[in-house]
Amino acid sequence: MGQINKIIDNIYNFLKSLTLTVVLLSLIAFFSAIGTFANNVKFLQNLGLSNIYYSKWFLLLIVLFVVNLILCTLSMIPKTLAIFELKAPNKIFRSYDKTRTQIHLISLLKAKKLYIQQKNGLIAAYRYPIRKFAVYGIHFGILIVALGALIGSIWGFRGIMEIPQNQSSNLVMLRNNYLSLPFSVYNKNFTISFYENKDIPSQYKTDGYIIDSNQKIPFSVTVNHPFIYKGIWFYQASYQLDPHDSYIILNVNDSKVQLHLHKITMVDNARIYLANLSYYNSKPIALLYVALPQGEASGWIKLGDSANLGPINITFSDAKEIYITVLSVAKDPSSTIVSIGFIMIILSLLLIFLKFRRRVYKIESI
Amino acid sequence: IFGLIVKKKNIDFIGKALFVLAFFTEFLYFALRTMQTYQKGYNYLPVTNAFESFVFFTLCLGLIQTIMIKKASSIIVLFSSIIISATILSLSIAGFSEHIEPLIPALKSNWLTAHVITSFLGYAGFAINFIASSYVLYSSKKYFDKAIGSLAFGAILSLIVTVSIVYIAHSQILITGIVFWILIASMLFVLGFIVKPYEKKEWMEKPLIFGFVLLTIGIITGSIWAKYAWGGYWSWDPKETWSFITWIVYLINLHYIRKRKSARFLAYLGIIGFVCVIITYLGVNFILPGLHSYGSN
Ligand code: HEM
Repeated sequence: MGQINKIIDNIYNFLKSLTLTVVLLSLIAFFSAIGTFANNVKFLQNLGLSNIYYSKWFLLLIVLFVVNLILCTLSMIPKTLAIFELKAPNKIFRSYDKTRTQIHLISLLKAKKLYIQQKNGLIAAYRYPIRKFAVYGIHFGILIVALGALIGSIWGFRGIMEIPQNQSSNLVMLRNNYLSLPFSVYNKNFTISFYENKDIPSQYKTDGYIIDSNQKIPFSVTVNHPFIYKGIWFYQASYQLDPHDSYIILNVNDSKVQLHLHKITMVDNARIYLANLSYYNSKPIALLYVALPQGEASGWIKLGDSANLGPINITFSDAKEIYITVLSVAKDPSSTIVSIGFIMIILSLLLIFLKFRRRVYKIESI
Repeated sequence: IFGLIVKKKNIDFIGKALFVLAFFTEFLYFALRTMQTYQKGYNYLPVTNAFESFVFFTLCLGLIQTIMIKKASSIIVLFSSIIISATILSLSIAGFSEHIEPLIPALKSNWLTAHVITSFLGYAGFAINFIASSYVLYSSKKYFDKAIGSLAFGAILSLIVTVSIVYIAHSQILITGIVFWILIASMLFVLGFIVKPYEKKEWMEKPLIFGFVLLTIGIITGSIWAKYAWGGYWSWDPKETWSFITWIVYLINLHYIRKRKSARFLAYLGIIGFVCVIITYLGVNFILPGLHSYGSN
């Protein structure tokens, strides 16, 4: 029996040791570092390290670390409590009138805003006793965040929805499968706005509504301002040109031609192909390929500009750009828990800057 | 801002006074730039592109140094000012865009501002820890320690020399850099034998704890921002991951401080940590792609 107890003791001591912490953290750091360039290095990809953060090994390391943190923090409690046990005094006063001196001392310490504790005829004065509990707040806060991450990864999801203009969808693409929402999302309009006279976008925005049973709930999402419905968050993540509905109008030798994206159109002897549509200085621009019997030409053209290609003259007269909005969709039932963990960590970290002091006084009669 | 190029000052007081003066000059510059940004109607603190973030880093370092200038040892002030001036000098030479540009939508967030401010203050704390760590090693009697310390200081000094030379002679930056690094480090190594051993941990510990607390808050505010912008607290993009690694290294360092490990040991950890900071800050912006590579133009 004693043997087994000893082994258990050893295992416990190992699991709570700072040495194990350092080993685990170093391993976690090392594998994380490898993960950052695994996608660029063939050899590491072949080892299956390109998605290390979601692998079982990585999870095992984190679980071990959590166990280590719990045990270590628990094993610190007796030491902390011992600080608040009064034993040997730092300073002894001698006095003829013990009670009066005591009252005097206490009022003096109180005036200094110290926390006072009296026990066994000893008086202890503490400055910032809460400082000694900062460690627990930090370690516990980390555990709460870890718990939140676990809950989030089990009961939450994160994916992407692509919705063309004037259509609705309830399909969310996840990392390697998909999911259908119990309601659908209708994209009424996606807009890009620009800063004045710059080709830097200032905002992407989707307006639309949720269709849930027979209800229509309007929403609008912009970058950094998600919309939340029934615990599911919708984010403006990205956008694409809709190849079916986007078109431009060209005046080719004074006749109007409607050109769709990625479709070759014949005008007289010219084959014209619209390869891309974008914005430059807040104006639509189009990437055109033109093939004539005499040769080929290609290039970007701005709305309103013309190009002369020998036999034909092209003017870019109108553009209709229709977008598919790309929304990130996430459900994270743990966000409250994680927030609590965050607040706890930050508050307890700030406590570290306080300076703990302790003095124990004793008053003896002469 | 060139007022910051205040070099070797043996006369402690004048050196420190100049440092404070330089800091206020830079602060004025920053304030002016902020005002300009607001006047243009963009309404953000100018800390979001590569140029601005470098300037802000030096400002943070200056701020911390100024706050504790009375007690700081002159070596630390000296090397802080060298780091600051080297960074600013390289900035003005490397030709980063100084234009005030409006923000792309993803960067418009108060969480981001909080994230940047706390992270850079944290980095500034780590920079001071790095200087103190290097000094501990540099002044040690062991050859290996001294070599590492020389290399660390040599890196800082050669940065400023290289940048100046590249500016004047337009030579190859990498080769010039390495040549001067080796040259200066070996010179320092030889010179190092007159330095008295210095084993005080004070200048390593306090900035480290400060840096750790701020980096932690920086990571937390950053992940809240990520939650609002991308839909998840954490996505393991390279920059996030490297800041996590940096955090782990300093976490280990912090716990070893509590275990009262030797100054030498902590100094090595401090140097490893700062290498991680530099990878997080530079390496990832310019080499590994990810959500954060705003610094690329
Ligand atoms: C990510 C996880 C961790 C974080 C963020 C963290 C953070 C901290 C911080 C900031 C302190 C300093 C508190 C103070 O100065 O009073 C501290 C102290 C300490 N931590 Fe951790 N820690 C972590 C994990 C661990 C683990 C796993 C162990 C177990 C081996 C551990 C053991 C300790 C000990 C023994 C102290 C010293 C407490 C004292 O001086 O009273 N920590 N921790």
